[in-house]
Amino acid sequence: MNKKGYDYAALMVIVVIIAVSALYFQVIKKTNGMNHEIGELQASVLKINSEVTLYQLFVKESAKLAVGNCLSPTWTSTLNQQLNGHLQAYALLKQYKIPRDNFELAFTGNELVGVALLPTEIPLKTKDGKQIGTALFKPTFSIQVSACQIPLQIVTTS
Amino acid sequence: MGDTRAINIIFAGIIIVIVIAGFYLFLTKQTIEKQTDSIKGSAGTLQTDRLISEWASQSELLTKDPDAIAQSFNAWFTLRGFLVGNILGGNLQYAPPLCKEHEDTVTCNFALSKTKNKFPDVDYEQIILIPEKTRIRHIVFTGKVTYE
Repeated sequence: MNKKGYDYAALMVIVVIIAVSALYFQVIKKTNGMNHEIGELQASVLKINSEVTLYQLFVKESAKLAVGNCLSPTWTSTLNQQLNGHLQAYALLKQYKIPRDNFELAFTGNELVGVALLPTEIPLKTKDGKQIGTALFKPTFSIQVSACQIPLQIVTTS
Repeated sequence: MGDTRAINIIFAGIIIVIVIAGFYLFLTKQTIEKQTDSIKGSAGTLQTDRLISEWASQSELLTKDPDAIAQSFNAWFTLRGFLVGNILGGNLQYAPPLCKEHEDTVTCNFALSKTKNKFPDVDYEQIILIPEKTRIRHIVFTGKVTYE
């Protein structure tokens, strides 16, 4: 190979090194810039199942605390008012929209059952906190009637 | 002379194609690994979310002291074939979660895996809210999990 040939080969080596380096950095940049994860949105939807289970648990525990005297004439509204206090605090922490005075109550056997009339709005959020939609859920609770605080009436006979 | 030159050009072309293909294979491998890790992480987190919510809804001990919560958690998951542990100073030890109460928050440090062969490596946090008469009790489960 003559001198011209060597110069050409050296130039080609330099050009190839520069081109390959540029390609390498482009590839790395592209890989690192890929922040979108497969199933990111689906994961937010699937997560709702656990969220509502924990929400339902909170409603049930709140009902146990709020049940009061089941024989009182104003009992239904009192219980709903008590529930409002607990549930609005929960709504504030979780950014849910929970309707007030929302529970219809009924006794079935040994249980007191409460059913929400209007659904709670639960925001669907991705890992980075971006809201992608809203889920609607109507919580229910079922607690033992024995949780009712019925005052004892003492009848005395003379 | 002309044949040699043609062979050299073809050879150089093949090398360039191999280098570019190599880069694209590298990119594909990196992407697949990243997405696989992400899917495993999401699946592990979702699975743990489901299990913890199921345990919480069945446990009657969430209003009790931190030790009772830890024992209930340990018993429930062990019964279902999980290895429960906690991470103390970066070391995993197979024992009930470490739960401590401070004001209205109970913080439980835990680790969860299916086998001893796989170290739990996905960060996890779940907050369970329990109403009390005048406040809301926060039970924070924080630690590492693995789905494999």
